[in-house]
Amino acid sequence: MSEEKSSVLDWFSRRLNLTEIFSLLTSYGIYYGELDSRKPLREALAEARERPVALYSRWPRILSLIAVVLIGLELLTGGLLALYYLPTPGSAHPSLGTILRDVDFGGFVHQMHFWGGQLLILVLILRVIRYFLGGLYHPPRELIWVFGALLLLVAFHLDLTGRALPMTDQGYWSSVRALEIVGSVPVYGSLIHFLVGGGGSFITELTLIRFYVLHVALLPIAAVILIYMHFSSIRRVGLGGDPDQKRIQPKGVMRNQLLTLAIVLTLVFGLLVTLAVVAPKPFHREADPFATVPGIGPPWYLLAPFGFLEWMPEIVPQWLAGLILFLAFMAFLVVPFLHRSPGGPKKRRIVLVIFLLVILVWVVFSIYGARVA
Amino acid sequence: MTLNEESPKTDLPEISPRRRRVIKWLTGGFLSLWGFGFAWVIAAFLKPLHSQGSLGERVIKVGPLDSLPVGQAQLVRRGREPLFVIRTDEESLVGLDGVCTHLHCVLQWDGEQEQLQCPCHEGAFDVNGNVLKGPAARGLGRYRVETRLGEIYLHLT
Amino acid sequence: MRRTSKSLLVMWTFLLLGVVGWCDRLVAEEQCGVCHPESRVAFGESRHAQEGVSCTDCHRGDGTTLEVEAAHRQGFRSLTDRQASPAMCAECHSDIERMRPYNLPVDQYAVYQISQHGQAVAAGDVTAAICTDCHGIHDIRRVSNPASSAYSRNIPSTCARCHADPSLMEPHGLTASVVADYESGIHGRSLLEERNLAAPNCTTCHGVHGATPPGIGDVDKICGACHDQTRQAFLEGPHREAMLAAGLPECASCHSNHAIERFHFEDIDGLCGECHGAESEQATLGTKIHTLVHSTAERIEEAASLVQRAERAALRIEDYEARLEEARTYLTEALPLVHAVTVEPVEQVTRRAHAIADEVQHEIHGELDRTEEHLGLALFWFYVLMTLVILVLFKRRLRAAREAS
Repeated sequence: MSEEKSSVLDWFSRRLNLTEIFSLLTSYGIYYGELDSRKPLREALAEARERPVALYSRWPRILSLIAVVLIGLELLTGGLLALYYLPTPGSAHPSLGTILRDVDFGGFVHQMHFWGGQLLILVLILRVIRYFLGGLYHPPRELIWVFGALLLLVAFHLDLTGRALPMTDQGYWSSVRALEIVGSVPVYGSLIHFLVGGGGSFITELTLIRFYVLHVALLPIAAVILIYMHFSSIRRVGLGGDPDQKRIQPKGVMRNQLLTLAIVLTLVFGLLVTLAVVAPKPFHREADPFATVPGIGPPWYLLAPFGFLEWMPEIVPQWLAGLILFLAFMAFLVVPFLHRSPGGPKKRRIVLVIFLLVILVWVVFSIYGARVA
Repeated sequence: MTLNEESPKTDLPEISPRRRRVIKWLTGGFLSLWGFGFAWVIAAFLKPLHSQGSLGERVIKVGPLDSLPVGQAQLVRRGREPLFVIRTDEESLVGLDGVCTHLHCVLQWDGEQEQLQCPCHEGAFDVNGNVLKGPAARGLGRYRVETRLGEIYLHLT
Repeated sequence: MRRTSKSLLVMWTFLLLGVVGWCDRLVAEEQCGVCHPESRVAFGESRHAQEGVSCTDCHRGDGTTLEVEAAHRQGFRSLTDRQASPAMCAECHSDIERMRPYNLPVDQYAVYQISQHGQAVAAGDVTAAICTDCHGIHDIRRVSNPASSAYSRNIPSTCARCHADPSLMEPHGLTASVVADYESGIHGRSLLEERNLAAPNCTTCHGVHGATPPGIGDVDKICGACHDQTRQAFLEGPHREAMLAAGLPECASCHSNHAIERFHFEDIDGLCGECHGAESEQATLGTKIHTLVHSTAERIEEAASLVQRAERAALRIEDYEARLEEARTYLTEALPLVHAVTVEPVEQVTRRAHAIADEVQHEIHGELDRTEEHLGLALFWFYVLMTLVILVLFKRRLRAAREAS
């Protein structure tokens, strides 16, 4: 039987570089080892098995795996939903109603897509926190951080654009709030307004289709590119400096890692299914762009900027508040260039204090934002 | 930990190679349920829709129950198709297609013989839609009829 | 050719003379307005002027001359005598030959004479209403014209000219608050604020020219002219005989005659006790009726909020909404039936409404029931745990194998 198998593989390997194709897995963080694409697949894999590689199956590295798996799941469920969803203002809501009512497992796929997205954002935030606390942004790891931060931004935008697509009153108006916040940021805000094609204060026919194209095509492509870049840097530089480096296992590691991947996948999938069944997102009424629904705030991850903007007293002009937000985000993005060398325990303490302060400020403004909405 | 040829690996007892193969197949089958599950969900999701129309296309209000005596039938129209609502006894009603499955002649209800008769080729159907005689090969389609607060409703789905 | 043109000339001359004469007549009509411009202008907008009635048709005299004495001769009458004024109107408005083309009734003067207003005027009371008080003097318009003071929406303010004036009402022993009461009540608000022309004005209940207020024993008939169901129910109940015997005006006893307010279901509770005593069996009956209606209304509202929940769960709700509308209709029927102050008629409709609401709730609960999904979830987790067990066992075997080698 293995003879048969190998002949099939050989047939393909004579026509395609299988190793190169397999190493796509590497590019997306499933398998961390480098594969020599000049060697045939079986040889390259055997070589990889022999090479020492750090265990990534333990927490906290497992977060990367979960993130990639979730993105894959979102692509799958999103693709399925897109087969029924109609992106015009009049048909968006009814088409979603059709998905939820008349399509078998339509509601299930929709809830998986929603909860998968929320979990993805949560996991990405946890990854960012983990990288920050682990000091994994010092040179030469700056780009890991930058791409990771941009990936988080892209994930936020995916969620924002996705929320508006059902055209439910909750989703629509929370998107409008989010647009207002993003729009208040200078430079970037104007860029978004331009891209979205509207005045930004309400969604026209053009805006919805722009959201749709962003959510379905442009942002996913951006995400895929960023993931590739992110993991490419990780592979080049490594995530050394953490205790796992010490526990290097020479053989049989890949199978072990694949098994762990399977276990993680199962658990995450189980969690998502549970969320989808016990906490489904309700299907609200169709949104009326001319009737503002009071009391709707932006999505949870934007509550802090929203709270901040609301907290700013009247005398502070809008552009100034937006500028502060913009500067805060830029500071977040260029952390590795602000804190170049690890320094001693004192510096570490300062970093910890800054981190706690930031978290505190974020939480306080989030609560305030939630109250004001 | 050194390997002892006789002591068992992990905690599994000695298993014959055949049993091991059986276990392997069972586990494989069990785990492949995941794949089947995925495939099933996706296939069901992609099934072509027969979307339900508005309420008016799914339910027809036939009329008051009192206006249909026991053993009589009422002709109801759905678009250009005739349907029969037959009151078989005090409590039960049945809904049937009103055209013969042979060559689509419109049927007539005979209360005495409790049959739907086709005038074209001497065909007949009983109250359940089964063919009693005549050239028809298939029975009549049945529809659910319910009464609510004294009104008869015919469900078309 | 010449003969034809001659006869043509004669014909045209006659025509011209006729036209001039006619115009002359018209020109002659306008002379009154030279000295009486306000009246002439007001008259010009009136219905009478549109139909070719002239100043002299009512006032007599000579309208062709500008000399005062000449104009005010020939039987001229100024019509400032209030007592004689209605009869003057009747000269035309009781003449069938004149009124037939307009299909106006010719009996209204006779009706007026038997009314309170007419009798008072005949007895010499000059403050009582005459034709011109309500219809206007020179600027009389059709009653269907919104600018007319007799237009349905303007009638309350027209009647108020006298009936809201204490100095005019007290000598007759009448209150001057009736119009204000009416305007504050539901009929007044409906007519004046909501502009609902079907709402009753003063004349709807009191009569137009034969204005006489309904007496005890008549009130329910007047109200029942529109509120038919309510009247039927009232007649079937014990209140009618009892009120008649007690000399109480039927509907007005509870609802008042002019300041009528809309009743709400909540008002029923405790209402009976106000007349019969809080501990009386009538009060208990009232509470019972109130409970019936109130609990049904509550049940329907519960069902409505459940329907909203169903909508959020992406279920089809048109059927439920239609049935709840049916239930609400039954409940609306209960309000007039309450006037029978017996339980059975009310219970009949509330029972049906209640049954529909119960049915809807039951069905939606069934559809919202997620036990199946939760069972499925439990099964799924069983499967997940089994898979995890297998994977972990597999992993441990691998590790043991690795450690062994």
